[in-house]
Amino acid sequence: MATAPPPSPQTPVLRLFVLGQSETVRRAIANARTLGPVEVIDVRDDPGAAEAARILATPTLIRTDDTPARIVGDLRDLDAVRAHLGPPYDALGAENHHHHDDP
Amino acid sequence: MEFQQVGTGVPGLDGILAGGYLAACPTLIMGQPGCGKTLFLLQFLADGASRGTRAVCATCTESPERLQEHMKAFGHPVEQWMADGLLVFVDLRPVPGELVTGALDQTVIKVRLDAALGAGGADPTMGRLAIDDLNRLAYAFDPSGIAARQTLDLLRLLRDSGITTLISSAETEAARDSLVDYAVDAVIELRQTVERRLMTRTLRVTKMRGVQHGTNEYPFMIDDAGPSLMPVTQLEGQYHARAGMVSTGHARLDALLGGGLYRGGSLMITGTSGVGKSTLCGQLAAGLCADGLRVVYKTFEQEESELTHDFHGVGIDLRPFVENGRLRFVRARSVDCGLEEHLIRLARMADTDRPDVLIIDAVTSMTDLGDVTTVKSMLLRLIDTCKSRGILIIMVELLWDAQDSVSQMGLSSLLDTWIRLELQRQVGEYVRLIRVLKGRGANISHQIKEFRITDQGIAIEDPYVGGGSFVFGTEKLIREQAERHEHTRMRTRLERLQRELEVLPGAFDARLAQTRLEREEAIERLRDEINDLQRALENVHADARAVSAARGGG
Repeated sequence: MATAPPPSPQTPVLRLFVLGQSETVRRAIANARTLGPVEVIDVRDDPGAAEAARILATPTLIRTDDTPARIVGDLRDLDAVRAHLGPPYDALGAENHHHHDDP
Repeated sequence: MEFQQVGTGVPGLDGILAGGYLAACPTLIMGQPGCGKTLFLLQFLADGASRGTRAVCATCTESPERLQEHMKAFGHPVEQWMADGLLVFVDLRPVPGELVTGALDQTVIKVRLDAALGAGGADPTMGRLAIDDLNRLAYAFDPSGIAARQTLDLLRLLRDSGITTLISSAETEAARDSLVDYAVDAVIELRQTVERRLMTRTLRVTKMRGVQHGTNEYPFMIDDAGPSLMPVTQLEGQYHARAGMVSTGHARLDALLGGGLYRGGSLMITGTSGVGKSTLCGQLAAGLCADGLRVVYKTFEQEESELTHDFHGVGIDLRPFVENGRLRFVRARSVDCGLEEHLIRLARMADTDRPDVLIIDAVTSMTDLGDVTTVKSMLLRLIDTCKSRGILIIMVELLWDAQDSVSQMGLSSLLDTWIRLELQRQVGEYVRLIRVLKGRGANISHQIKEFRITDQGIAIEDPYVGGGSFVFGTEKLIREQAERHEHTRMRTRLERLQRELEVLPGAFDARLAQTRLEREEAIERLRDEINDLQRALENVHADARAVSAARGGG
């Protein structure tokens, strides 16, 4: 019933801006990856990208295609994240429930 | 600990802060929306960029483009600075529609700011940073301000890394509670009030670690060159002494003033309406311009064309000086802006134009805008400003008839020279009188002189002194005329007597000569007669003898 995740181009549609290595970062990356391919950018390595994307907090997940959306935080509420990202991500929520939450 | 300070780029503010904002520390500028916080930030950045210091502008509300427009409007070479990497914008505006879920960290903002400050390998601590509307960051993600603590962390990071930062924030309880007490080393509060329908802006330094800053509420204004304050001269240091006298170009006035007026001095001309204060100003302007000085004539009452026309009518032609640029009229109406703004404008004009002479006709126009105490304190600072810049300031104070020639401004102690013009009522007329009440460092005349407005400028004349009193005007003319008649009469008599004296001895001499002549004649006549008679008698005797002899007698 569910449509497949969108066909992955050269660079993923989803970008996750993080800062360094921390439990929150690891959790955010794991949560983001349940949505499909994700380009993870450490803002310390590429502050220019953070500047261009006007990142005010990490982690921030950005959908970069023509239906942009931004989600800030460790993405613990994956259902809300999917809903915010919109189609096609919003259709995946019901079957995939193994999101990463606080320990 | 010695604090390094950096220029604020706001005229007058460095003085109040005893040097400038604290280097390597965050300073908070707080105030209601629209009170000019952002402009202080922009001038701080421009001051840095103009000194070749990297200036980073982080904005949380307005677009970088908008801020660039503001800076350009103040005349800053924004594009050049941006091309040279001296001015960098960091857009900290939230992107609308963000979803927040779970823990977040705002350290990325510090990363972005560091990147901007350190671009091209620069030392971030050598730059300047301004964050406009910082309080918005706390509400970037939701209206309850979940990021407030994060914002404080950011400030702590900035402070720890020793970056000279200027932050603006709306005045909210939250800002007061958190920012003021914990996160910043200096706090400047801006306030704007509307009094008598005129906007007044004031600034107050409520916290400044380790610096003896000014503690008053200081008025400031905003115009097309940005915000500025009245300079605080006592913190700027030395006055230039009154240096050298300049001639007023009017021999009688110079004599009255003990030689002329001092450069860097102050002159107050007080008098009631119609006594000729402006005419005297015009005369002084003409004389000082002719001396080669540059004069600014600030008029609150008449327009330039009216004034020059009126002056021309009494033989004072200022137009050549307007044409050759020595004289500039500046017109303002008292209702244009608040008192402080007028005075700040004057002070700034004194600073930028650097005229030799500033004439203000009339300072009393400003009392419409504030109580006398306020006006006085502002004038005091204006006089100080002019003095410290070697500008001769000439002020006109209009007295109301009911004031009985008593100045309401009470500025005497501040003034070097004080001229009072009076109308004196006499039988059937008023006469104008001029008197120098005070002249610091000059041997002034203490006599009251008559002051007349002729078709060749002003004329200063001695009063009629006689019969134990001073008399002016027609009365003086009548007395002088009577005296002239008496003089003539006496002179005529004198001449006559002198002529008589010349003639008299001659007359007597002539009479003497005549008498002598008559005496000689009388004597002669007597002698002749005596001789005749004697001869006759002798003849008679001879005849008798001849007869006797002839008769044989004898």
